[in-house]
Amino acid sequence: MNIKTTLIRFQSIIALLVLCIVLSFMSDKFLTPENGWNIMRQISVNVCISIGMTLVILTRGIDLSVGSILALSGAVAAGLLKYGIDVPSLNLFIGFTVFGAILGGLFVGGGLGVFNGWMITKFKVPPFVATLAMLTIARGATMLWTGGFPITGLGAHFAFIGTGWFLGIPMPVWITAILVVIAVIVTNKTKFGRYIYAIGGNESAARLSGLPINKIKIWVYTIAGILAAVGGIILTSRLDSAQPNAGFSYELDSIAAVVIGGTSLSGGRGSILGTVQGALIIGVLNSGLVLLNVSPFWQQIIKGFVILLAVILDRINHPNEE
Amino acid sequence: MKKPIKFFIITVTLVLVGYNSVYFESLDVKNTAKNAGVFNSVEFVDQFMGAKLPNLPATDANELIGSLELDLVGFTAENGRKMGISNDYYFVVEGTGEVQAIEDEDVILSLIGNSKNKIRIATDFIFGNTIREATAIANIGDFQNTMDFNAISVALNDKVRTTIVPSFSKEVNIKDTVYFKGGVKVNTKNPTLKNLRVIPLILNIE
Repeated sequence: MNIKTTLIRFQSIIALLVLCIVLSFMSDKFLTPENGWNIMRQISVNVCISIGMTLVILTRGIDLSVGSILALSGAVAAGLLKYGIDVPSLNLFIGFTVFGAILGGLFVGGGLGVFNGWMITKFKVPPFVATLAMLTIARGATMLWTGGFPITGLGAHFAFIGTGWFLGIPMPVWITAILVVIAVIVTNKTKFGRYIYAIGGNESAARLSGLPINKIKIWVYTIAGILAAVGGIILTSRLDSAQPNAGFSYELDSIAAVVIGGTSLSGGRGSILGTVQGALIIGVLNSGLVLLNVSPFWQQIIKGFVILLAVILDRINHPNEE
Repeated sequence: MKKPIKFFIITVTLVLVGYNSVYFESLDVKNTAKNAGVFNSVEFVDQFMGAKLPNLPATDANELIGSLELDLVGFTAENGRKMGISNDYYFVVEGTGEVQAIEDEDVILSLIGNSKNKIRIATDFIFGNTIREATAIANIGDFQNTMDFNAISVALNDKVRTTIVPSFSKEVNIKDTVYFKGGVKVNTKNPTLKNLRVIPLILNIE
């Protein structure tokens, strides 16, 4: 392996290290354990969504609805936990435990993911359009479910998911780490993972090889929905509040993490660990810019340029990709 | 794996998940428990409108405008009610005026006694805490949470929006003489005395 190949392979890690070194010189508060845990907690939601987004992009798709699905799933979990469901015709109240409310939220996320996948495979709606439609549908449904008001006061047990610590590590970091490990195993060591890469690399060839393309795509969008729901539940728990406008533009942060992490928007190339590195770069950049008192407007501009730079580097390194 | 065993495992799993996810109660029992000790803002406002409002002391509108023109800061500080740190002062005001114009959001009255003084009676966009603060219907210290306190404003505004304004808007015409009593907010930094907007509590076409 020559130097150029090594640099290309480890470009995300190198960028992350350089960023950390530069920021630690510029701010004495950057390289502290507290800030480290803060960054990890902050990126955990983005990593959850980005794992799903990576799988989708690997199949040459895109999912713009993850932010809205995150909001709806979090709101459903919070609403079920706090208010339950009244069934006046049977004079019955169905209450939900924390476990039940979480399952409810995950079910909603998964259901919307199935719907996305179904639209894309059955009706051949382009992923961009199908998930853009879901973005507004899910946001509208969140407004309907919450009445436009936050659902707050969800109790200590639910709050533990987002604010608790276990063995000296914050719970969101545990959850995210477990999901990352599972996703790495699935993408690298299972048939399903190979199929995802195969579909993204060349869908026609994959179809001719007899792969169940539609089934795999529906699964991929379902997983993306469920992971968005996990992110929604973590965020809701962390804030002890389900906000109707939660997750606004999270899909962009997630796509940014995937792209910066080296996954090709043309599909078929990329990795979960790369995406984690991408999310870390965004998280570190966010934290550093805040510590350096950079205006939020400038932060957006800088992040935009970082994404552009990542894509340009990717193009230079893979000039023959479509 | 044999089908019956598979079926048994799936059933047991679903039962366990269901048992740990949901619980059932009678809706009546749940509602009784929920409503016990809960503050009812609508009832609270209804009591106020029925018993206290007719005798609620109010500043004459002409007098209020005159006094504010003379000494805005002194008069508001001495006679107005204030909520927290702000430049907003609230008054209960009453008067009689002739209808000059009927707009989408307000009815404009020229006050009897001094026709130069104009008052806007709000008939749309009725929001905020003006009535609650002007009438001193409640003190924040008497409430365990700010949600209950804010619910009073919501109930008061709903009452005005759904009961007081619709019947008035239906019948009012230009040149009608109208008696009004309501709440008004005066901002000492931006007083707009020529256009005081009254959120009405009583409106009588005479």
